[in-house]
Amino acid sequence: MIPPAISLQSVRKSYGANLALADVTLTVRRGTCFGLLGPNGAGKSTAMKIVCGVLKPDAGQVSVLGVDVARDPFAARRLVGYVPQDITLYESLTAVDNLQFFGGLYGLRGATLSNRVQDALRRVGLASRARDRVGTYSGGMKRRLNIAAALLHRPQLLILDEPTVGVDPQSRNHILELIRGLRADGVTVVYATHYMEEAEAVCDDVAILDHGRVLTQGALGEVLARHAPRAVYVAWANDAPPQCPEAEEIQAHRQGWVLRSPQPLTVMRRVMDQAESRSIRLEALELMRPSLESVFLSLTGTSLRD
Amino acid sequence: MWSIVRKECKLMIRGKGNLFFLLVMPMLFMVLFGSVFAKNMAPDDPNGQMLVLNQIVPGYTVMFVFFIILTMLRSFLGEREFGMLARIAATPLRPLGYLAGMWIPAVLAVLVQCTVLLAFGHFVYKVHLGDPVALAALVICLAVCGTGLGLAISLWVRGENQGRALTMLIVMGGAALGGLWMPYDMMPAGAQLASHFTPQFWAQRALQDVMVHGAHLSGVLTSAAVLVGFGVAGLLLALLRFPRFLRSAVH
Repeated sequence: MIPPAISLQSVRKSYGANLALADVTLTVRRGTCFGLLGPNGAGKSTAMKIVCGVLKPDAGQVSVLGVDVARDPFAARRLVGYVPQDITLYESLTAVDNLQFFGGLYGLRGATLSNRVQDALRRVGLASRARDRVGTYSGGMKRRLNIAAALLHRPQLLILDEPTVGVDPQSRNHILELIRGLRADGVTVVYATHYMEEAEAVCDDVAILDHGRVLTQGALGEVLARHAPRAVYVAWANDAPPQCPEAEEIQAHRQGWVLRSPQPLTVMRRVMDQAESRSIRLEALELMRPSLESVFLSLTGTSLRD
Repeated sequence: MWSIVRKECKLMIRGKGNLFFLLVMPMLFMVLFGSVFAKNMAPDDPNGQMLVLNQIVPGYTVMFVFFIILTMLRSFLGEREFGMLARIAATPLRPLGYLAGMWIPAVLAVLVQCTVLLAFGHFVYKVHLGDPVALAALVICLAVCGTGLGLAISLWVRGENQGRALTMLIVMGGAALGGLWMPYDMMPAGAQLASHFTPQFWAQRALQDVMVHGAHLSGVLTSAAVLVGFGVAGLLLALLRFPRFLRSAVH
């Protein structure tokens, strides 16, 4: 059997009295884009550093593409490209200098290194700025170069920790396209983010982490089907919400109301009947699209950005 | 490891402060103090002026070698603070390779620095350099000493402010006590005794033995050994501390 890209079995990690990961068990399938989601401080970065062999877990087993990280961390690191949340580039050096440095850390030399550097720069759309000092780059360009530095040794597994924090929409789209391209090339991508809409745009599978625990994991569609509450949005010319026994919860939202119910179509029919019989002008009646944001809300009871 | 070496060399060359601290400032000091003391203390005596220059040229060379500690401090703490060390730790590079890669460019910088400063003293002030083999060996020992201490301080201090304070203590305190600013014979007896505990004293004495008294390598072996001893002690302290430094970088 082909081992998964990543396997975490009952991984636990504490920083002093703070529990960062509590018996986390995760499996990442090869060739997929896996979203590791959760708010800041959920334990995403800790999990990633453990996968890269940078941090040692207090307990549990970690393997990367079949390599036991505890037994042979250096072999595991050769297989992984790690893009940390911080922009780790030398600003006084050029993009080429930076990439040659990172390529050299993976043992690349000579013409191979030069070709890989040019290839990586093309891939992230920075070939025309290759000889400029990184200090002159915009935030988005630095983020892209930060990713390029992890692609030089052509890793089978790419780990991206919050790669779109603080970037402009153009660079964000570029990064998301890059991830799609890598996945199409067969690279397994682990994408840690607290931007749920980005995860929905690129990920095949997701896991939601909060306070060091995995709340749920699975294929994106399954997670949404399993946990996203089904809801209807109603806006009508009336101060009171619709009367609806099928609704489990009614919340004020924007100019109207959100009615959560396992039977949204029945709710919609009942709202239309009420509007007609009471002559209330209906301004909006929508079936709300399930989202990871609402999954997080339903699993934790709090908004993601709280 | 050589990637780190190349990168550090590039950063050193492009760092504006490095060139000033390691080369320009010591030359300015030599010119300033050379003209003030040599002209005032022996205005009409070329031999007397040469005595003063034989104190100043090796003295300021030795003194400014220890400023490499500041450069190393900024490199190490910068790599830790900005997450670079954590990223490097995620590559297949061995920790010892990283340490060696950060150390070698500092050694090279000191070798270049000493070569330039001693050549400056020779060509501008006609200071005699003595046996080139002995001089080269001493410069290498001095480089090991200064960079070894730099490595230890960079990894042991809590932050840059503490590191700067400690570096200034070593640079200025060592210069004053080690006989770099005034001849050893003119120092009080207590200071003379204390000077033996500073690397600057051994470096200055050995350089003057070679440059002024015509000593060869065999005549400065003790001083060279003491300098290497300081350097090796620094390297061992750095090796001892590095795992903790690395842990603090990745958490």
